Amino acid sequence: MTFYYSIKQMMRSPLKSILFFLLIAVCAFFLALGGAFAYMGSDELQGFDEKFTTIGTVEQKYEGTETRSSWDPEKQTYEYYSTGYFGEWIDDSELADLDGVDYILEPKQRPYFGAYIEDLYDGIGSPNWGTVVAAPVETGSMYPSLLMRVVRTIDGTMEEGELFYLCDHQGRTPDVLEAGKEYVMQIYMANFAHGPAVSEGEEVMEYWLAYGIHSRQYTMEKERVYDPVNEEERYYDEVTDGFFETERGKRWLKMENYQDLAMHTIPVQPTDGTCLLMHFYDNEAQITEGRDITEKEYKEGAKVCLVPENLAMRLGKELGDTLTLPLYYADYSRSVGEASMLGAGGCQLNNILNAKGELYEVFDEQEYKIVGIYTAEDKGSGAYSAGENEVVIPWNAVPEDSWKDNIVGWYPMSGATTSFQIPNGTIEEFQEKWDALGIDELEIRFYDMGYTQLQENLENRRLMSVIFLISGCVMAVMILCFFSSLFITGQRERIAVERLMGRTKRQCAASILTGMLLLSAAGCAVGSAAGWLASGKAAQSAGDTIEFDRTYSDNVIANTEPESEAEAKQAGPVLPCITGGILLATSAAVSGGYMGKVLRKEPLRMLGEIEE
Amino acid sequence: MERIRVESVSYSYQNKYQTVEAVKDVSCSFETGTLYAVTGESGSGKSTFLSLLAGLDCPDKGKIFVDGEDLSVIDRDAYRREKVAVIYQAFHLFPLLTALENVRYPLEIQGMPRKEAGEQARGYLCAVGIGEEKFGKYPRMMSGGEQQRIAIARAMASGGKLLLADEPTGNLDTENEEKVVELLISLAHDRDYTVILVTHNREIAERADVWMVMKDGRLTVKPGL
Repeated sequence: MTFYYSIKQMMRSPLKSILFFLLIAVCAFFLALGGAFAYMGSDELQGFDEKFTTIGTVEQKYEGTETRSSWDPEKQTYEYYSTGYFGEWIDDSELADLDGVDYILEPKQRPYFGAYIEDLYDGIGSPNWGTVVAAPVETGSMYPSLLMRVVRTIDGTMEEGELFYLCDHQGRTPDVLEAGKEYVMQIYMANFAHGPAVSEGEEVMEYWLAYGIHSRQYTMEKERVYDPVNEEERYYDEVTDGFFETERGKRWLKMENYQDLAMHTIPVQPTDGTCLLMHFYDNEAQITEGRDITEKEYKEGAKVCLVPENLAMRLGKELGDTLTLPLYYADYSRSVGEASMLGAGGCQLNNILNAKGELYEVFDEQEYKIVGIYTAEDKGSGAYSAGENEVVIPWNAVPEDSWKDNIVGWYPMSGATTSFQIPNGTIEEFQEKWDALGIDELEIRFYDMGYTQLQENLENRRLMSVIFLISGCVMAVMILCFFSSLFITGQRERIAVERLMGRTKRQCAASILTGMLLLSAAGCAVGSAAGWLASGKAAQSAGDTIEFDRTYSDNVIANTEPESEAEAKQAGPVLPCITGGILLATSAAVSGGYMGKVLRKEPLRMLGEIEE
Repeated sequence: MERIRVESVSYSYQNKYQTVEAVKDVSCSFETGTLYAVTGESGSGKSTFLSLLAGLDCPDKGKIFVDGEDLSVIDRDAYRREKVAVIYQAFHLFPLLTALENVRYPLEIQGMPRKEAGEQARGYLCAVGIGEEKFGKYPRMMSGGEQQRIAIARAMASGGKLLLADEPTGNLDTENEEKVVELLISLAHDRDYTVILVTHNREIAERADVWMVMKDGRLTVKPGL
């Protein structure tokens, strides 16, 4: 009966009822659409959060510049050039201790390790390098090319009696080597031989002096380890009787290991995350088989690794195989891409002896399971590119600082060696905190693949959805107030009479509200459904292609290739049900409030007021 | 036979500015088959007294007994549904319901099936002189007299034998006023209703079986009737 009369009343004022239905439907539409947009926005942002990574690189800037000169022996003049110099080397802890910054991966200046792999090479060596005892054919200065004869080969493929040209392009007054004397030196092939000693039309290579027995060992505190034998910068020695019994002589003999080490050494890159390595971040290196090292594996220091395809083939390794990595040096002076350039054949060793004149010993040797095989290409990224034969392992897999006595070089932090990860969308916040610290010597560059721009777009969309939501809410409340007033306050007479007829307050409320709430429910259902469908259309058109560029967030455009696509996902039907339900509940609350207010009045008095 | 007994009833209420003592120590009784007229100036407490009789308010002091039952302890919603009906100066019919539906409504509230309620409602409408051609009409399409008669039919349909009428002829012309008063007298005398009629109209009051006067919240029986 209550239902019957309630509906009857509604149907007998069709215009009001239809208007109420339509307006509620519009509100529900806006709410569903706004809710769906808000959901899509946050869902997409969450999706992007998973796809995007924001990293920062740290580079110590030059404190100033100075003019230097170098001797050009050909022109017989100095060439002057300007170059930068560093102030005090800044430690990565300056960044790690940044208050209030929520790092995902803390900044760390990464060395790369050298690992000796027995199976890597089984050739006879390279003619490009060598350590020899040689004598000049005739007395002459080391510039232009001086013809030398090999007396004894310590390292390399040169044979006794073999002739070669030696040249010194560095010093203004090249040393004179005397015929009849023997000299020990490490040489490398550098240029075409030139000068009167070279026959016209002859195209042979000349050799330059290499570092030889010089040590560049450093401590963990970035201090050069004192090497008494090499106080004087001398790259060759005259071999006299008993020379090889001397300290320097013994060191020269140890150079016999140079090619063996060089040919069997691969760079091993420890890191806290693959994304921190720019060649992976920029997709210059891509995992083609297997998987990446997981966050957990990185954290726990699991003995797993990523190996390049070429190396895997050379070593006959496959996914799941293990690779033993005897690590014997750590190099902080160069990035792995600089030390082992792609296509260059292998690692370039600067020096193989420590400050005591000994070969670096293995500081850590463990078996690593190959979980991923990657391919890398050289896109001209220089120091940021992948290294030849570079194996990636978790930083925590190697005992902390176990390499402290095996550091072959150090250099201030550079973008290719120092990076960190922060949560997406926090670049501005980080920058503010960093600026407040006032460390001008470090330059930080952020890479977020364009996340910031996307975030801005999505924030705009979210704002739009909030506007929809607020409009829907405000409209809904206004409409509900208006129609509650119309349907309830306007029905005071009926309420009073029904009360006088003995209907309870609850029955009166049901009698008045049933029709209104039914209309409201119908409006909510229709509007929410329409809103959901509209949001689906919007998602379809918005999600067809959202293309974004890989962009430095600090407005330095690094690369404008489309990176990937993301599809906007439509909100499920639950959301419009929720918004519709909320609207219906609000409708019940508002109308209930009005009803309660009317029911509080004594019926006869109410009728008296109406009559007045 | 006594239908209502009022014993030392007082009632006050708070309006915006002050406490109004609307009914002061009223004692009286109302018999069946009798038409009572209650007159008094505006604000004398007539409507409040009617409200107390209708069970819409509870007296601050005193008791009201209906058919021997204390009104303060019985279910007053049921009392209003089953024993008492009220008619008003402004008719207060449901504007969106037809004449028939208006009369059928209280019957359905009492739980009567719609069809049976409709038949009874037709009978009540005929009893108050509303022709069948007007059963399907809305109140706004009818005259004041007709509306008031429909209101009386609705009151009759409520089933109670106590009819409280608050200025039922106030909006009617003389002809319709006469018809309504006749109807009320007939209800009292022929159908054994207790009719309590609040009115300003002396002529109507004089036609009542008992004329009571309300003054400053006190009720007295006008002597000489």
